[in-house]
Amino acid sequence: MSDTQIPSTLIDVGGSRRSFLRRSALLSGAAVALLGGVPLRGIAAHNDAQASSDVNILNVALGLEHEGIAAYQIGAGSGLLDKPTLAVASLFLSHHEGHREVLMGAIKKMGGTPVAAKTTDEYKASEKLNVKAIKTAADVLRLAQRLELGAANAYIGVMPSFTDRSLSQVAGRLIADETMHWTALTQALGEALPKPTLSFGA
Amino acid sequence: MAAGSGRHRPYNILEASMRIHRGIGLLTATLLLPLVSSAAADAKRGEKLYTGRCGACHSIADNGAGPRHRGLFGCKAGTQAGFNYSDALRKSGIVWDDQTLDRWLADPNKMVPGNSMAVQLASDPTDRADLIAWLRAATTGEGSCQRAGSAGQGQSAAHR
Ligand code: HEC
Repeated sequence: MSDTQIPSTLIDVGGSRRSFLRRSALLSGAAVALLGGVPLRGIAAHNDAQASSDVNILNVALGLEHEGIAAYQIGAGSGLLDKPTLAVASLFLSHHEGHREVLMGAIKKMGGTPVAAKTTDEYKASEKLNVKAIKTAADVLRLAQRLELGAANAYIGVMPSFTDRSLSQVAGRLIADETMHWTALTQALGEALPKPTLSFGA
Repeated sequence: MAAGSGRHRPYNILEASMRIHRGIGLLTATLLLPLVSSAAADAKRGEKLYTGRCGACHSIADNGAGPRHRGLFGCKAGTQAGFNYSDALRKSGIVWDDQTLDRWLADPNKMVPGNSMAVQLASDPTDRADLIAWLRAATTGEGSCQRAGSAGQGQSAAHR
């Protein structure tokens, strides 16, 4: 009995590892399709109104990424961050630049026009970023934390509205990045992680 | 700090049972709404929810990815000056008050198909009551929308 159980357990482990690898390959396949000029799955099957509503949602998301990039640039240039924190901020900035490319690519592929970023001066003057109130490194981190949370929640909120389901997967991957950033920033600020379960979105 | 949903409130049991009885849940929510929003709504919690869930796109003072909310109560939907609304919302004929906001936040796509907010972030009636209580307190003052009952264009019709 146990003779047969042991090998079958081993086979199970091997099998699930293989299927995990296959699934990972599928994920990166979708990413490649998004970035590499292959039309998004299902676009052709959608009517103009649906495609344009998806484009609208993506453009709202792109606007948030533009704003996040500006905020990280302002924070990185503030002279308030020490070297290790600056390195993390630069890394997160590069993630948001990556998001911007993905979203712009998707919008163009769907026949839309990507929204342009505002000027740095406009971002600096915006009441939402409230840059003039930033006096310390913690203020920089708190701004980034607030934007990351807002972006994660905004993506969660729009996710059910995509008519092209492959866009929901893209949104899921963006949310994972924003959540990673939010978590790191929250820990850097010495704040506790949320007690309630399912605390994002709602 | 909680990421969004904040502290527990005495309505949880009630909400849970509403979720179980989805069929009558809507009716129950409608009947309870005036009670929840007037007597027990927590504007302070609503502010937190607004910052975390709506703040990426909205602020009281400025247009951003979403329109500004100054003057919201009594505004005709889709009329804040300088914001590029969907045709669907502009032509909806909605006037914002506790009830219309509750329906909008529960599911904008259901209330106004083709709207460009398309966000579902307040499925919980208590969250909506708290959000609305906070909006009521925070959005007072002159907006730049068309008030209900006025035929004026945007900018000028700002008095309450
Ligand atoms: C992803 C961005 C985004 C998020 C997040 C978001 N909204 Fe919106 N909101 C919009 C957009 C865009 C519109 C305009 C919709 C249209 O034109 O159809 C809008 C419109 C509105 C309106 C109607 C305003 C008017 O002038 O008629 C209200 C009220 C509103 N939102 C409240 C909220 C609240 C409360 C939340 C948080 C629970 C929220 N929104 C979250 C983007 C967003």
